[in-house]
Amino acid sequence: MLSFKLISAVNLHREAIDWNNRVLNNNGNVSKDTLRAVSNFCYRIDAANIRDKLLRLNLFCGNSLEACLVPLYRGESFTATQYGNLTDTNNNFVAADYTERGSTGGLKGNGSSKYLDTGFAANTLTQTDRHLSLWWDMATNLFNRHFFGIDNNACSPPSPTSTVWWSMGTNSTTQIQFRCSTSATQGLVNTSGKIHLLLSGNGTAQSYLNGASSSTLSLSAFTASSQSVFIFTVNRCGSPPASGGYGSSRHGPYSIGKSMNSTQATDFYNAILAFQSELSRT
Amino acid sequence: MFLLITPQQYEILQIINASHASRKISPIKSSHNNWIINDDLLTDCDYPSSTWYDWKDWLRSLSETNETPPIDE
Repeated sequence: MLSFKLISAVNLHREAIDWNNRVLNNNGNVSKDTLRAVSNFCYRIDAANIRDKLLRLNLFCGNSLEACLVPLYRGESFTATQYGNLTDTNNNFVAADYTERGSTGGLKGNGSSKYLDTGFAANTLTQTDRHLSLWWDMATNLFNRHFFGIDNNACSPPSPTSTVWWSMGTNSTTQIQFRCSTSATQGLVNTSGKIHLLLSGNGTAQSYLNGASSSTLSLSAFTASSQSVFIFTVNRCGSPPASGGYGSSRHGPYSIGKSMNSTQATDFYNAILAFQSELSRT
Repeated sequence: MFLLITPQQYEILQIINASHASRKISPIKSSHNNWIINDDLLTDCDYPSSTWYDWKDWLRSLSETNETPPIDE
């Protein structure tokens, strides 16, 4: 296996090679097919000229739970400042929660206790330039779950000065809700199946469902708090909400970064979709 | 479904968690205000390669409970 990777490495993207090495250091492993798929994804992102929009991205792939918790990107370029934890910190997931390939490929929450901590501080991004994105298997959703992002609702005192919400969640297997303002008012996206949702902006926020413009919010912009972004729950005042705050969904890739326009969102979705297809997850 | 964590077991857990940067067992409060944790952690702690191997003895010291988390906000 090692010799194969060395021989073929001449055509692999350097960020894919670096990710492979970090997976090995985290006691995981990567098949040659997966490594090629990750490399293809990196080339697609570069070709779309959106690499600097992605400050943290995890494709949730590799041979094991340990492998899938190693993010591909941790900064806006390979050599730029890196943000957040070296791996997504595992809170209560077990090996059986993760499958790399096939229709059930991805990492699945349990709706009650399991989540990841990216270590990525929400205030890393500026007030007007931020996005969240996530791949969902909508059929695995539960009602009224907040599971990607931060809020400081009811923090005492709220930091920096006002309550903010920056998160995605679900109402059901057919609807996603999102918040992105100093108001708890939600945007809603009606959808089902396996989908990708990107939320771009701040206060005035545009959602992109499978790369196409969807619903919007026009509310007040916010200065983010310093809480790190959680996945499978929301980081409320430093920890998951006391009740009902965990998602049950199976997820594929997530990203955190700068805002995207419609062309960039479409290109990003196409890169994500191609990767998911290569792992037979669509 | 869930395992019950006593206050003493909770203190021990903090010590074990503190020695691991990339993974933590993070209890949740039950609807009876006790600490509980998902019992499938027991399925992934038996071998040195298991995710929660370093927590094995602690996990096996816990008792099953019928207590559950609050359902929704």
